[in-house]
Parts: sequence; C-alpha cells; structure tokens
Amino acid sequence: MEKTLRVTRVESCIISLMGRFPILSYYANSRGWSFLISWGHRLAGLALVGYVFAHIYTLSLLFTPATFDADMKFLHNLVFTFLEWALAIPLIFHSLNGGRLILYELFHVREDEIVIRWMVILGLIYIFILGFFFIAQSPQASVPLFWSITLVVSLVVFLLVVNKIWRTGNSILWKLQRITAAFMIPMLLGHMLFMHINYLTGHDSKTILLRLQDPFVKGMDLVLIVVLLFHAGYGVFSIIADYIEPGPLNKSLTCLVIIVMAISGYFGIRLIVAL
Amino acid sequence: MGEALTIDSTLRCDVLVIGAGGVGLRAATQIGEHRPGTRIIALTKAFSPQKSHTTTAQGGMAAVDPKDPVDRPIFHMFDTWKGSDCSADQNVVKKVCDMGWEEMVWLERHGMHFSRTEEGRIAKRPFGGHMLNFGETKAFRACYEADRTGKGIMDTVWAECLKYGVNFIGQCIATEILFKDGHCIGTIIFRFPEGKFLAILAKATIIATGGKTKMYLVSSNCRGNTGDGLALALNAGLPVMDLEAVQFHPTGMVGPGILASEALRGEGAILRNKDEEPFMERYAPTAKDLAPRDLISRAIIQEIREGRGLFHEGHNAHHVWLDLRHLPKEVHEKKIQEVCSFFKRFVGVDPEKDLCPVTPTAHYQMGGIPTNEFGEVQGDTQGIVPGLFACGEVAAASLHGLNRLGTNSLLELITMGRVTGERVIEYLKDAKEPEALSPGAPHMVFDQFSTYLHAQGKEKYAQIRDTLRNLMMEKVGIFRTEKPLQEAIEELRELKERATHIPLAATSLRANQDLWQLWELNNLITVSMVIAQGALARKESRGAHFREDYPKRSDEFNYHTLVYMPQFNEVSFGKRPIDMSIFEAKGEHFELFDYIEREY
Amino acid sequence: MLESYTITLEVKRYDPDTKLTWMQAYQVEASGILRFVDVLREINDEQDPTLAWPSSCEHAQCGSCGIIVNGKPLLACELLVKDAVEQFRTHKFRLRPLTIAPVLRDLVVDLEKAYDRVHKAKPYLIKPTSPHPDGDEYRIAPKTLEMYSEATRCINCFCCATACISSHHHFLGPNATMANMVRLMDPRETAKKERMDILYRENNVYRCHTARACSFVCPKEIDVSHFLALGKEGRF
Ligand SMILES: Cc1cc2nc3c(=O)[nH]c(=O)nc-3n(C[C@H](O)[C@H](O)[C@H](O)COP(=O)(O)OP(=O)(O)OC[C@H]3O[C@@H](n4cnc5c(N)ncnc54)[C@H](O)[C@@H]3O)c2cc1C
Ligand code: HEM
Ligand code: HEM
Ligand code: SF4
Ligand code: F3S
Ligand code: FES
Repeated sequence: MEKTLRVTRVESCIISLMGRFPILSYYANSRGWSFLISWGHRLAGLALVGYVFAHIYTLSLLFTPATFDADMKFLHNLVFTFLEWALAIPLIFHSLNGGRLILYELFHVREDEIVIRWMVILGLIYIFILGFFFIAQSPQASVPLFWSITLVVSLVVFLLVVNKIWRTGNSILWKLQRITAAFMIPMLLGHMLFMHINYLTGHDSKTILLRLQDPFVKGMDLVLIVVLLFHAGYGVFSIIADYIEPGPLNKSLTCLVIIVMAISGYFGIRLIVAL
Repeated sequence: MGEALTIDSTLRCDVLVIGAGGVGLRAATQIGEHRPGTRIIALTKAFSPQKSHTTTAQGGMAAVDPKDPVDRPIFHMFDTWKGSDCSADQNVVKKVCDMGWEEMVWLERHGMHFSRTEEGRIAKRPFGGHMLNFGETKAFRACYEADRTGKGIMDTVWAECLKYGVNFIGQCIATEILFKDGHCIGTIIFRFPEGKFLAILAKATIIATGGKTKMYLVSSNCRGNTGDGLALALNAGLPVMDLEAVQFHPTGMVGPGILASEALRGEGAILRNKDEEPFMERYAPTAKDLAPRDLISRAIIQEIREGRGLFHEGHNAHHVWLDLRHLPKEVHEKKIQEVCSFFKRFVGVDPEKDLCPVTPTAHYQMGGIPTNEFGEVQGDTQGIVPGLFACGEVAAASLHGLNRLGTNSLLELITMGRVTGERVIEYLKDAKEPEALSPGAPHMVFDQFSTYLHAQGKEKYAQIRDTLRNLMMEKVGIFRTEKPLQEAIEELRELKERATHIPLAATSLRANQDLWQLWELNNLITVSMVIAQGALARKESRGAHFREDYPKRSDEFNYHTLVYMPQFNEVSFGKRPIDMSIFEAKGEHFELFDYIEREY
Repeated sequence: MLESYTITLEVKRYDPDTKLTWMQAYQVEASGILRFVDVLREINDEQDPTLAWPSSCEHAQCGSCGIIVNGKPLLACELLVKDAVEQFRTHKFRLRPLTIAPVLRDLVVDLEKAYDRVHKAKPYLIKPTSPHPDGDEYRIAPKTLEMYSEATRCINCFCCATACISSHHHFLGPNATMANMVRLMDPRETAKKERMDILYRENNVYRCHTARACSFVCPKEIDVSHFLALGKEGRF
C-alpha cells in the first residue's frame, strides 16, 4: 500500500547511529520507528507540561520585578542558556510531529515517511536558527509585525483543521485538542523564536512589562494560555485513559488534572491581565 | 495425580454443537435465526471458532445461479456424480446443488465479502472437474472471496452466531458422547486451561468436528485435525462410512504440505515435470490441469515414479512444478495474493518469476459418520440415533462418494449445515430436557485419561506419531496393495499397544499439551485402523481409493463401506446402498446418472 | 539450500500449577527452512515435552500461533529459521508469550479472553440493507470493495494489539477497531449510527495514537493504522 521510501545515506547514518542505543534499536526493529516517535511525542508532551508550570511560576515573579530580575540573573548563565535552547528540542519535536499526526489522521496523508523526513529537516533548521539568534544576539524584531504574521498563519491552520474535522463524529474535546494543536504550531514556534530573537532584552522585567501593556500582546497571550492548558490537560487525560480503565480512579485523576489546569490557568490569566 | 478424575460441573443447553467450524456454526445460525431463544453451546478445540480449519480453505465454493444463461444445476449434479466415481448419494447431490445459490445469497446477505465482477455481482472462477454441458468445457462456477473463501464463510457464520448469542466454549475437547436409552444427551468435555471435565447436557447434539488427515506425513490439515469426531462415534459403537477414501490434493507445497489452492490452476496455472512438459495433457486431454484431484495426484506420482519428477534437497522430497509465471500481474496481486505469499515465505520462490515445487498432500476425508440427507446420524443401515446429528467433513451424507470435487466441500458446509439446523429445529419441538447424570457414574474418558496419566514404559510420543505418519503415507497412501495394507494393519495394532507405554513428562491436568496430544494420537491410530481396514476390504479402484492390484472400478462394490469398531480389535463391516434417485426418477438426462465411465 | 543453524531459544516459561516464571534456554540444530513451530516441536520431541506453545493451521491463516520473538510479535508458523537469523541478525532468540491476555502455560495465552474485545466490535452486519429486488445478491462495485477488503484479511492473531502503544489495557485494540471499520465501510450495513457510537467511545479510536506498530508487525501486512485513521477522519 505504502510507497517505500529510499533511505538516503545521511538518514541511514543517523539510523545506524541511533541503532547504537540498544533500547532504541530493539523497539525500532520490533515495533517500528513510528512507535518510538509516539513515545517521544508522549514524553515531550509531558516534559512541556512540566515546563509550562515552571514557566508560569517564574513569570508570576514579575509582580515584583526585582525578584524576577534577580532570579533571571541567577538563571542567566551558560548552563541555563543552553538548557533554554535545548528546550526547543521537545517543543519543536512535539509540534512538528503533532502536525504530522494531524496530517496522517485527518488529512489522509499516508506518505508518512516523507513527512517524517521533512519533520526532521525542518526541525533541525528551526533549532539551528534559534541557536544562531542566541549567538548572534541580533536586534529586536518589530513586535506588532511579528505577531500579526504569526496570528494570521495560526488562524489559517486553525480554520483548515476546524473545517476538516468539525463535522466528524469525534468527541468535541478530542476535536478541540487537534484544533488547538494546529493553532499552536505557528503560535508556539513563533513564541520561542521571538523570545530568542529578543534574547537579551526579552529577559528583563522592564521590557516584558512594557510589552505586556500592549493589548494586542495581552490578548495573544491570553488565547495562548487557554488553548495550551486545554491541549495539555486533554493530553494528560488521554494518557490516563490509556492506562486506567473507566472507574473511580480514572475519575479522580481526571478531576485532579482539571483542577491543576484550572489553577494554572487562573494564575496565568491573572498574570497577564494584572500586569 | 493420585486423585480420581471427576466431572467438575454440568452445563445445560438445547443444542450442543461439537465443532464450531463452518458447518457447525452454519447449523447454529439457522437455529439462532429461526428459533430465537434457543440455548446453543458451540465447542471448539481452538481459541475461537474463527480459528477453525474452515478458515484456511482458499479456492471457492461451487454454486449455480438458476438464472445463469449458460450453467445449469444439472451440470453441477452430473459433475459431482461423475467426480465421485459413481458413489455419491444422488438425493444429497440433488439437494445440495439445487440449494447452492440460495445459500450463496444467504452468505452474501449476512455479510460475506465475496469478490465481485465489474457489475458488482459475485465473481466466479473455474475449478477442477466442474464443466458445462456434461463435461464439455470448464465452467465458471466457484464463487470466491479472493483466496480466502473459507475465511469469508467462517467469519460470517461466526459473527452471526455472536449476534444470536451462541455460547462458545473454546480450548476444549469433546471426549465422550453421552447416551441415555438410545438417545444422545450431550457430551463430556475436557477444558485445556483449567484441566477440568465438564458435562454438557443437550436436547440435540451436532457433531461437526471436521477433517482428520493428520495421520499422513504430508498433510494440508491443521494440528487439531485428528479424527476426534470419528473416534467419538466409533467408541460409542456407531459406524463410520467410506473412510478408505482419503483425498490427496495434488498441489501441496513441498515441505510443510501447505496447500497451493486449486484456484491457481483455475486461474490458469500449469503443472510441469522435470522437462517442463505440461504432462496433464497426456492424462486428461480435455480437463487437463483441471481434472479431478485423484487423477492429478496419481498422475504426479506416476511422473515421479517414471523419473520425470524432481527432488528437493532441502525438504528431502520428490515433486513436480507448478507454473504461475505466465499469469497476469493483476491475478497475482488480487486473486491469489495469499497463496503466492505462502510460496515466497515457506518455500522461498517467487511465483511471478520461478517455478513452484509441489507434491500431493493428504487433504480431505470423503467419508465420515453416516447420516441421511437431513444430517441425522445413522446407527445402523437405516435407523437413526435420536438427538444426534452430524454434518460437514466429519459426516458422510454422502455428497462426495469416494471422491470430492474442489469447492464442493464448502458448498456442503453451508447447505448441509442449514439442512441439519432445520432438522434440529424440528426435533426440538418435542424433545425432552435430559435428566441429570448420576454422580460417580463410570465414564470411558476417565479410563482413557487415567491410562495416559499412569502409563509406564519407554515409548516416546514423537516416535509413535512419526512412525504412524510414515506408515500411513507409504502403505495406505495414494496407491494401495493387498500386502502392504495387511502389514499396515498389523503395525497399527502394534502402535496402539506401544502408545499405552508413553509416560507423560508432566501429569498436571492444567494446560497439559502433552496429555492432550496423547489423546489425539490415540484417535489418529483408531481412525487409521479403519482407513486401512476399509481400503483392504474394497478390492477395486474408485475415486480417491486406488488399488494397484485391482486398478478398475467394479460394480460389485457399488455400495458404501460401513465399519464398526467399538473396541480397537473388533472390526465389523456393513454396507449402505448408493442412492440413485436422480437416475431412478427417469427425468431429463437421467441416463447420465447411471454407473458411467469416468474420463476427463 | 541445506544450510543448518545452531540457534538458541530462550523461552519464557510459566507453570500454572506452581505459578512460577523462569527463562529456559534450548539449543537446537535446525535446518534454515524449518519454521519456528517446527523447531518448537523438535524441542518437544527431543528435549522437553513439557514446553507448551500454540498453533493450529500452521500456515499463517488462523492466527493461533502469535508469540513475541526478540520483542516482535509474530506468527511462529511462518518464521523460517534462516529468515529469523537474517532479520534479527543473531542466532539467539528470546521467545515470550503475547502480552494481550493471561498466560496459560509457557507460550500459550488465553486468546479466548482477548477475543472478547473483537466481540465488542460486533463483526457482523447489525442491520443489513434490504435485499436486491431480484432476490439475489446485493451489488457492490469492486472499487467500493477494494476500499476495505484489505481489512477483511485480518485473522485476529493479536500481534498488532500486543505491539500497540496502548492496547494492553482497555483499548479494544487495532484489530477490533478495524473490524468495526470494515462494517462502517460496508455498503450493506445500515446501522451506521450504532457503529459510530462504538467507534467514538473512550475505549476505542481515541486510544490510538498512530504509533503504527500495528501496521509494522501485522503478519498479513495490513496497513491497520490507515483504517484507524479513516475512523478519525470520519471517511467511511
Ligand atoms: C488448506 C485447505 C483448503 C481447502 N480449500 C477448500 C476449497 O477451496 N473449497 C472447498 O470446498 N473446500 C476446501 N477445503 C475443505 C474444507 O475447508 C473443509 O472440508 C471444511 O472446512 C470442513 O469444515 P468443518 O466445519 O466440517 O470442519 P472444521 O472447519 O475443521 O471445524 C471443525 C471444528 O471442530 C472442532 N473440533 C474438532 N475436534 C473437536 C473435539 N474433539 N472437541 C471439540 N471440538 C472439536 C475444531 O476445533 C473446529 O472448530 C479445504 C481444506 C483445507 C485443509
Ligand atoms: C505546538 C504545537 C503542538 C501540537 C501540534 C501538538 C499536537 C499534539 C497532538 C496531535 C497530540 C495527540 C497525540 C495523540 O493522542 O495521538 C498531542 C498530545 C499531547 N500534547 Fe501536544 N501539541 C502541541 C503542543 C503541546 C504543548 C505545548 C504541550 C504541553 C504543554 C502538549 C502536551 C501534549 C500532551 C501531554 C499530549 C498527550 C500525549 C499522549 O497522549 O501521548 N502539546 N499533541
Ligand atoms: C525558553 C524560551 C522561552 C522564553 C524566553 C519565554 C518567555 C516568555 C515570556 C517573557 C512570556 C511573557 C509574555 C510575553 O512576553 O509575551 C511568556 C509567556 C508565555 N509562554 Fe513562554 N517562553 C519560552 C518558552 C515557552 C514554551 C516552550 C512554552 C510552551 C510550552 C511557552 C508558553 C508560554 C505561555 C503559555 C505564555 C503565556 C503565559 C501566561 O499567560 O501566563 N513559553 N513566555
Ligand atoms: S490486523 Fe494483522 S496483526 Fe492485527 S490481528 Fe489482524 S492480522 Fe493480526
Ligand atoms: S499500534 Fe496502536 S496506537 Fe494506533 S496506529 Fe496502531 S493502534
Ligand atoms: S498456526 Fe495458524 S497462523 Fe500460525
């Protein structure tokens, strides 16, 4: 059914390199690469959830700019810079792979191998651009222009997916997770890019607070936090549903997820609105 | 295992189907559909009915649409009669051929995924021995679902049974049929997972345990086709009929004996010998590669004997070639995809490019538990056993006589399954609920199992099994002669005795594969004995039964062989006349239904 | 052709009487063209008659003989020794029972239980359309049939369900979900609403994360994930 793809030399190098890790090659040989990618997707998703909590916490320090700056200064060393850059890896992987899943499941794109190849290529490019901006420490981008473009792209992707799946019989929540995912691809990639372009300034409280006075930016951030927490919440719920059958335990864990997400949402929104 | 064997619990139902294969479940669906609320239990040795052997049938099933412009049911009847070498029962032949199309539509209406023609109708292909105008040219008569027709049937009847709430019990063997005052009242089963005996009491019992050719070295049958149903009947003092007629399918894949369906030849594949000569032209000038199976199997062995065969070193076996290379790619990919993948996987040849090595493989039993045309089991020449029914490969009604045409067996499943189901519904009208078994009553199966559990000696299961398989292949195989048959009977006696000295490595009852196989081995030996005895007694050649010392058919033997063997060493014979009702009705073309010459 | 291999099978064993689990290694001298079922039989015959393993048809048509070899769920009756050596690049194989149902003994698992999942997918026509006016078969164009006929080849060996990222729990599993899809695509089925209710339940298609291990391991080479995705896409 599926066209088999010729593996390029670079790819076979990568694959054989990855094959050095017995656990990877074990599953690659017995379940296929897609299976490993799915695990990667799951782990990346969970890592991102963790990050978002931390992120909201650090941002909430903005209420007292001095602490925020002090903290940022503390975090502002080589190790943490590198970690911030490295954070882009799960994000880019989860985003692009999420995009691939949406293409496969909803848009009937069965040339999965080709999509995976593009995912890897685009991901690498993106990450290196981020790294480049880090090192180059280039000047600020125009905030309104950057975000308008991102928003337009996000909306287009959003509408495409809505149009495609809204009428299917899938549960609303499930559909919303896919829709929010699509919306976040440009949004979050943009967010990361932006924060890296504005690396130096982006990290001090003054610039952030100034930027946040802009109602447009406020609105964007509000949308982002809601959309993201829903997506993440449903994601965690979905993992719970995979392992725990319907019943009291499942219910209580689901409630817990809702509560945690609601609380983070509350803090996140208050932050944006109040600052 | 010191403790005594006991029946753990008793289940009750209206209808018990021993053997949830194609035919058993076709009968069950008939009952479920037309008598809602009937409590039906269906037993299988496998994990699920879907794993029954019917699932592996590939080619197709014959049926003539009465509205067909060229084909007619009477041609089909004639082919079946001629194919059987004038030994099928004509009342059954007529009934089955007349019903065929209706049943095809039934299957289609219940969800089978038949292959289709461009107009969206059920597609048909030619098959061995099926011809138009009484043997003129090949007929397109076999309805099929690619090369998984049996699976299509099995999936359909299995799923229908789910719909009607049939209760499946898998991983069990029926070990003894229970009788009370001449009525059949159910069976005792032994469950593999828990190692427990259960009694199942039923108003009506249908035996549908399928085929049995696992006593042959090369066989297309599954691991569980060990003649259980026949052994159950024999042990109960019932006769079995025509067991000497064992069909060897000409094209088994060299090695495991896996079947290369006749559908391949239906689609145009050609048999070739060492010199790549299409040798069937010499043996059957008209039908060629689509001649009946017995003829082709003998032709292949003849070629091999005369030095025109080949030898496969890997599998240590002689063979000829099956040529598929000239078939269009489309056929390879759509119509015979499954079988082609077998050649690639199991033999390592690519049928699109290479010649495929094939050799005859034991495939089907024409005979079985004698029944009338309604599936009621006959205890002696005419009388029936109340409450006991049989159908499918384990039964002989007899549609096939001493030789079966390809595709007629699946047809038999769905027609005779339905007929039997209908008869059971009739029977249930005034059938009584059987009384409970008296606790502690002695049962034959307990004796058998304690013998196995307590056996002492140095014999090995594997050795006896292999000896049996080689013996049957050599001496009771495609070509038979007086002396080797007599030797075989002697050796079978010896094997039976040796089999009582196989000590079990583990005597737990739970999930004990060894114990289970030992029981099966005993059935195989029992049934082999009857095959050999029948073959020795039939001093003629007819259909699949070929005696080199009596190579001609003889009118003296115009009857069905009945063999009784209540104890292993107590064999007695009976005869059942061949039904000639089409001939006797003196209708159109009746003269063709006399004892005619059989040429292809 | 007659190449022979010395292979080691490390079998995960389980005894239901003592409830003990252990690994046992068997060394076998096997011809390359033997299948794994033949090798297991040989072990029974020559080394250890107590080793239990499942099979029935022994030609890849019934789906009874699924086991896990070096992590991969497959049919023991169609794996030739020489292919195994080539595929796994080793002479040492770890055999484990499928993880989809409780183990009965050694390599035999209670597939009867696993089948409950398939039963839940109602693999029959719940409500067939009215018959053709001529009284014979309903017409289905070959093109329509082709859209789902691949999926009808499934033999319920549960290899896919074993490999799947999430079917060890209450997910109906790739094969059962696909069985439901077949009837959703079957033009003869009219109870589409009921079928969709089955499909879009929490224990069904949402549990599939397109890990595609199902398609990867399926011995019948069915692209299972394709059919599951059709379900999500609502294209049937
Ligand atoms: C490889 C192959 C290909 C074939 N191709 C064709 C073809 O193309 N066309 C055609 O017409 N015919 C074909 N046949 C023949 C046909 O498939 C069989 O004759 C038919 O399937 C038999 O069906 P059945 O229902 O009688 O038995 P089966 O399907 O064998 O079912 C028997 C059932 O009984 C159960 N059982 C057995 N013993 C016991 C016991 N002791 N206790 C409880 N349960 C028991 C088994 O587990 C099984 O469920 C083929 C046969 C084979 C082997
Ligand atoms: C940037 C764009 C994103 C896209 C395109 C995206 C896409 C997806 C998709 C398609 C899924 C469904 C996987 C499945 O169930 O089959 C998913 C699951 C998930 N996502 Fe995202 N996602 C994105 C961002 C995020 C972020 C930022 C987080 C965390 C804060 C997150 C957390 C999760 C989690 C936890 C899951 C569940 C994983 C699982 O079920 O295995 N996602 N994502
Ligand atoms: C390391 C790189 C990152 C930096 C420097 C960064 C920085 C910031 C800053 C400064 C803000 C405040 C609002 C603004 O300025 O627009 C913000 C908001 C936000 N970021 Fe990030 N971010 C990073 C990565 C991420 C990632 C990976 C995610 C998603 C997983 C994310 C999700 C969000 C969200 C949801 C908000 C809105 C917060 C709220 O409303 O409370 N950020 N980020
Ligand atoms: S889809 Fe394939 S792997 Fe899964 S049960 Fe069916 S045949 Fe087996
Ligand atoms: S492996 Fe499992 S996750 Fe989905 S694509 Fe296949 S069912
Ligand atoms: S034994 Fe039937 S598939 Fe392997």
